[in-house]
Amino acid sequence: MREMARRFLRQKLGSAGTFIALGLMAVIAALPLNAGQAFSGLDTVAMLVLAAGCVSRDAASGALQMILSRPIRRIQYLAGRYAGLLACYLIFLGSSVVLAITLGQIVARLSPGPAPPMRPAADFARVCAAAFLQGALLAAIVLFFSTFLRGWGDVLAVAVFGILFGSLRTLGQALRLPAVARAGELARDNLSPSVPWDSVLQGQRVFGEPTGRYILALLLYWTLAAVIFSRREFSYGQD
Amino acid sequence: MDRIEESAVSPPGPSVAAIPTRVQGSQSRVPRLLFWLLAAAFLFRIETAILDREGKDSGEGLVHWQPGTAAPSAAARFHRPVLYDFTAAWCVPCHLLDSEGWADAGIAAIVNGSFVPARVVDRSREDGSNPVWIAELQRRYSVSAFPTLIVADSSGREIARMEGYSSREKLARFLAEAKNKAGN
Repeated sequence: MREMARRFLRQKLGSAGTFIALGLMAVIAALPLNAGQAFSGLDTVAMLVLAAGCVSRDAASGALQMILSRPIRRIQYLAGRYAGLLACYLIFLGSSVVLAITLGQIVARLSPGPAPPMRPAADFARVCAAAFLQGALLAAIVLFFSTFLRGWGDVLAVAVFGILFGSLRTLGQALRLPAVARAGELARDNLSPSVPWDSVLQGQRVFGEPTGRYILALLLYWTLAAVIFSRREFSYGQD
Repeated sequence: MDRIEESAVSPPGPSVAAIPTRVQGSQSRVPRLLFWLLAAAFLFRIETAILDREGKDSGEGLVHWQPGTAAPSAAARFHRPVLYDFTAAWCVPCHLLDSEGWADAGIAAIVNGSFVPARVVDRSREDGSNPVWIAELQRRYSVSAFPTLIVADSSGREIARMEGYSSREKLARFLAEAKNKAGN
C-alpha cells in the first residue's frame, strides 16, 4: 500500500502540468487565506485535478494490469491510491498556508503604517483541517467512480451528479413540487454531505447529523469502490 | 485472479518494483472490517439523526425558545420584548447562527434573561407555503431574507432588526442595543 501511495505521488508531482497547475492554485488560494478567509473553492478544484482518473487511467494505460499481476491485494492498491491522493492534497494545502504566511510577512514589511495582525496559526490549522476532511470525501467519491468509468469519466460524473442534485431542487421549487425538491435535497445531503467543519472542529455539534451523514457517505463510497474494483476484470487493450 | 504465485509475471519498470511478492488468501477479497465499519457508520448516522431531531424538538442549543404564537402573550406577562428568529432549514447562515450565536452561553444568557425568544421557521421552499401565522408574521415585519432577527414589544411594534449573520460579536452588539431600546 505504501508503495502504491508513493507511486501516486511520483505520478502526480512528476507531471509538469499537474505540478504547475497545483502551484498556481496554491498561489491563488494563498490570497484569500491571508485575508482571513477559507480556500474559496480552490481546494475542491485542486482535489478534482489530483483525483481525475486515479484508477481509470492506470487501467487504460495497462499499468494496473501489470501491478495486479503481482501478489498485491486489490484493496491495497485502492487504499494506496487513496492515501497518495490525500498526501498530495495535504501538500497542496500546506503549500497554500506557507505561501499565505509568507505573503502576510511581505505585506507587513512593505506597508508603511503599523503592520496588520497576522492570522493565528490555529486558524490556519482549522481551515486546512476543514478543507482536508471535505476533500477526503470528494476523493472517495472520485475513487468510486474511477473504479468503473473510463478516462476522466470519474470527475465528469462528480460534476454531473452535483448539477443533477442542485437542479432537482431548483426544478422542484420552480414547478412547486415539494416532493421533487425534497428528493434533490435528500440526495445532496446524503450522497454529497457538507459539514460545518468550522463549528465541528471547535467542538460544537461534533456528533450532529451532518457528521453522521459524512462518515456514512465516506464509508459507503469506499465500500462500493472496493466491491466494484474487486469484481472487475481488467484485460489489456480494453480502452 | 484469486491467487497469484510469485513467479507469475515479472513487471518491468522501477515504479512497481517494491510490491510485496506474496499475498495470503484471495487477491480480490474485500476485508470484512470494511463492512463492519459501514454498519457502524449506518448506526451512527441514525443515532445522530435522532439526537438532532430531539434537540430541535426541545429547542436548539441553550436558548429557551417559546412557541411563536404564544410569544406576544408571554412578552406582556414578563414585560419583555419578543425576539423573533426568522430562519429556514436550507439557509446556511442560519445554521451558523444556531451553532455559533445561539450556542454561545453568554449570548444565550442575554436572550433568556431579557427577551422572549421565538423561532419562526420558513417552510415555503419545502412545503410550497407557510402556515398562516408564519406568513402573517413575515408580512408584518417585511421579512425577505434569512436569518432576520426582529425585536418587538408585546403589541407587535418593531423595536430593532438585524438581517443576516456575520459574527457572534455583531449579534451580541445587536442584542445589547435592542435591550437598551426596549428599556430593559
